[in-house]
Amino acid sequence: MIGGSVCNEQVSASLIFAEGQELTYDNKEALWEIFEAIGETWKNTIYNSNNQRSSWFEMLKAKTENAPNYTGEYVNAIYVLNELYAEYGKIDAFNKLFFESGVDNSAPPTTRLAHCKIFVVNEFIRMQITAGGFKSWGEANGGEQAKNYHGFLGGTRFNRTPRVRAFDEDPVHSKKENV
Amino acid sequence: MGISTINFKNKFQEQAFEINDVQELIAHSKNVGTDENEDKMFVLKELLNNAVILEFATIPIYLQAMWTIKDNKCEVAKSIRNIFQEEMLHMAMVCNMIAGIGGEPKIYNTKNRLSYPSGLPGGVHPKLFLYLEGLNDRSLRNFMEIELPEEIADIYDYESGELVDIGNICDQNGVIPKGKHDKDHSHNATIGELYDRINELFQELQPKMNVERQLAGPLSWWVMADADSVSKAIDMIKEQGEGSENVTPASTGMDNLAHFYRFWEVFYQKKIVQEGDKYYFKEANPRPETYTIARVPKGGYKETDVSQEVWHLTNSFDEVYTELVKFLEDAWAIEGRGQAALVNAVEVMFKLEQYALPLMKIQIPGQSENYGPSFRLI
Amino acid sequence: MKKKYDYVIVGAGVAAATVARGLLLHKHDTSILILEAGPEIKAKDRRFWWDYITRNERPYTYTYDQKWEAASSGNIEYQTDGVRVKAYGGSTMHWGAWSLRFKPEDFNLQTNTGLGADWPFNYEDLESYYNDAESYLSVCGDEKENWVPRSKPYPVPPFQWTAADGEMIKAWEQLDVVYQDGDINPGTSSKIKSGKMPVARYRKCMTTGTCKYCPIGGRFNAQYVLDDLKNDPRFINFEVRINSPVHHVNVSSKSKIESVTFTDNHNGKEHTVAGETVILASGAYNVPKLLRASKNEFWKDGVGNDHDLVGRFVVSHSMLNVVGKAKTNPNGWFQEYDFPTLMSHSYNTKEHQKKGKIFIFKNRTTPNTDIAQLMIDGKSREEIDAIVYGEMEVNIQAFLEEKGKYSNRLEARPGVDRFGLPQTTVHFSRTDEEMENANDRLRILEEILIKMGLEITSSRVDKPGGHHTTGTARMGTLPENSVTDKFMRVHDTDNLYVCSNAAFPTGSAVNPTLTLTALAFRLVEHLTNSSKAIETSKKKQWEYQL
Repeated sequence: MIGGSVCNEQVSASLIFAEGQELTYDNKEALWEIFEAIGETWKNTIYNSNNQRSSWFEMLKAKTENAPNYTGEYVNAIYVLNELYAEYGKIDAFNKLFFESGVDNSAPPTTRLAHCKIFVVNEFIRMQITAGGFKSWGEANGGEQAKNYHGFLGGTRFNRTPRVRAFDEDPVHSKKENV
Repeated sequence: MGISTINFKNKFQEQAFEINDVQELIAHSKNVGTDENEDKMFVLKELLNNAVILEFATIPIYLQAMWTIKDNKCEVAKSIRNIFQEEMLHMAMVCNMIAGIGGEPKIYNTKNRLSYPSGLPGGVHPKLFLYLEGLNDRSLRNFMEIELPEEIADIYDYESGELVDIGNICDQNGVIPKGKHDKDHSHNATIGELYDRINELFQELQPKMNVERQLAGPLSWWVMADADSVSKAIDMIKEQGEGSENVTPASTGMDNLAHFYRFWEVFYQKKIVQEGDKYYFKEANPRPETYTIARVPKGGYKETDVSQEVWHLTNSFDEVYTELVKFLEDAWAIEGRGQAALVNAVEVMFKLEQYALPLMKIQIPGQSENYGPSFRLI
Repeated sequence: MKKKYDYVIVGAGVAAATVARGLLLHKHDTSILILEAGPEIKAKDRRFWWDYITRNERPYTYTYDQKWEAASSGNIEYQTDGVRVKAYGGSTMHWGAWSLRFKPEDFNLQTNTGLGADWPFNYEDLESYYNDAESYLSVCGDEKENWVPRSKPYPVPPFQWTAADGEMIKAWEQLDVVYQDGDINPGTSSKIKSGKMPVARYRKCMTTGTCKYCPIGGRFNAQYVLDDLKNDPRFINFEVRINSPVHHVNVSSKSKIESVTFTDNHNGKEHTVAGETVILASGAYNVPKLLRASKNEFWKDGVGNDHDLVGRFVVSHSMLNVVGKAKTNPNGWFQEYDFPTLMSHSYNTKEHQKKGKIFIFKNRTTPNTDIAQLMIDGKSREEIDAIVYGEMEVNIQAFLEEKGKYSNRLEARPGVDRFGLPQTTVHFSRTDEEMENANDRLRILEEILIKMGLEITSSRVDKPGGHHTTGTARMGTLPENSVTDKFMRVHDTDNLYVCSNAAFPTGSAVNPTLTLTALAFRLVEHLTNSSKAIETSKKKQWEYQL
């Protein structure tokens, strides 16, 4: 168990009430810190998190401007984080949240902490990987960097470089192109 | 958004808004008023918007040239498609710069409303007229003129050993005059100057860039997080378009030549190679087969002048084109839909072909040439 | 809604969209009413797409048959839950768009093997319509391939093989095609030949890999065609009604179909609407149920069912599934496309027809690691690396052709589903010989994985999945042996057509949709009576405007 009275408060498993609320600029900045922490923790930020920001931001808009509305979940996540920051300091707070939360990811969430993990953290992780974090794999043993992933807008294949790690059909005659 | 309802802070800003000519605007930007930073930001936004419209103006003419090529998998088509993609990228990066300093790009409802035939917006090249006329010698030479570097590399014809001159752009009657290139560099200096001035202002102001409304994704590689990324972006825009400052085609990579040289390869019908420290036009690069389309008349084809089927195609095209422009604006607008609008824009770009391609296959009654899309904003 | 239309079409999937489009392009003011039982589910919606990415939810899955809405009997379970989308756009909302032609021998199954049935025409008769269909669906294929005779190349180039495909390609290059007991050995040997899976993707495909809900409409979806038809100002008499299940076809005499009766699901009211011609395009499940439910004084056992054949000869594909594992995945390969790119027709030939043809492909989801899930589970970077570059699974699959049998039948059972359509039950059994043949074919797949140096971890013949159901109102020469004639018109009627997989006399070893689309083009030509010469010149001018 991590966190204090806020994290462990019992709440129902359904989406936390959101009507009438809007995310403020500060809310978004606070949520962005979770996103950046994902890349830092798993060391898979490609170039600069900022390059994924517009996609991430679009996801936030889609989740808060349509039903079912996630605004309540996002605000809840900030409460949870604030308590974790206070208790553990920023860096450790994220480590606790990502690795020691004790939350069952496949069960309905019944605490504020579980809501934060399932509706916010887990979804941000999926988004981060999809939007480019996956590129951090492929090269460890001298192979090609991963080029594409479920959900990544790779671009049309009529570009000059392949959109996936492709099988070289004609290795004798193929030339290396600049990426 | 009526122009008459805008209140300007001071004369400097009002004048900056009114000036249409890019050269004049650059000059004006150097006379900043008393509220220094604010004025600089204002004129910077004006300069940036001119850059957006300049980048966007080339897109319809490159697109329709590409569409007239019958085999869209051939090397020339791929090359032009790649150029078009890079222009979209340049435009996106300039839009990011605008969004970064709190502005929003305006492409649709502007004083410099794009319509063809047209000169380059902002009076950038008074002698250049862009027609929607498909891919041919005249249009190719015009494309080269748009991307003209300040100094052209020396390239020799491999067979004859002679230095190849780029010649002149066609006149109003569509005739390319004989003789060597009349080096009037004023226009390309203007485009380069425009970007240089934009960069200067960014470096001076070092503004805190708002990344929230900037877009990074398939069309746009990176966000402008600070004045440094702006500088990098501008270097890339200039290098991709006209080549590097040291005037060597190879510096961008021989399989990644700047737009100017790639158009020249298509125009001259030979590929450029480097042997030793000299450049040659060597291998044949034949002009691909194209649909011959007539120059689209001023104002486009009118409903009363064409058959029902042709009107359906050309009007539907214009509707989709207008949608595209609005999506692009919406993507970077202050109350806009951001990345979602950009995804829509990308999709709609392909929808244009649905109407453009059949249109270009229809012969104009009584003429030997075919129709082409009018690119009208509705 | 009018009282009478030139055409009433039941169902709003690819068949309906293709036929409607053809009829309208031919004559713009043709009056057409399409009746769809299901709802309209928005495509390309941003929130739906983000929910797919973050929660693996798709907005149309609730329309799938639930387990309680369909049953099966027989010695093998026939899977109906989850196989079809009941909505505007039909199953093209979720299809993978693998678009392969049937082969010439598929049209002559009975003649060649003594089993199944023959089509009442040959591959050559359908060939030019296959060209039309491939152009319209935007099928990306390898023009160098010559698996089937073709008069035109593919309209769009193929997707390249992935790096992970390479290992299987190299294995195939070393393996001879084997002829098992029951096959016809041609006497010459050849290696297994690698092919590029032809998939229907427009050129705008951004290789996003969320094909089942594409954010930009890169993969053909009948919804897009229907939307274009609705929005086209020329087609003033074109209407689509959703939430309108049709439950009866009404006749005025034995040969003349007069109208259909449907329910408006919003208020439960019944409506009857007349059509000069009625086309049933509601799929291999709904067509037979509707025909049999349409009893009247002229058709005691349901329209087209005088010989009790409606719903019989039902087949789908069974999947052969072999999984192997390697100790390491040094390149850290994981899934990048959302469709398979490597396939082979080497076992989909006439020589293999009697024992059972199989269409082989490398499963698109292997090798794979769900990196995001590992992070969600709290694994460290080092642990994730060990998994990504560690054990690797490869899954080779094959569709197995099933042959139609009289005793296998799809029919309604008491009760309605949530959309007002009758529930389904499928009686389906395989013979012992068929099971033996299927297991023999597994050996072929196992050999491939073994050649790749993998350890086999599972090898099985799956139960048939109803995704590719065909045959339930099959074409044939006589009412005694079939339900529809060679133009898919119900025997002994003048104006009732079945444009659906239901009309297929054989199921082949490949996906049915391309063939269905070709048949739809052919039906349009039949209905509009245009001569081929006029059609061709018209096409040259206006090629695929929409």
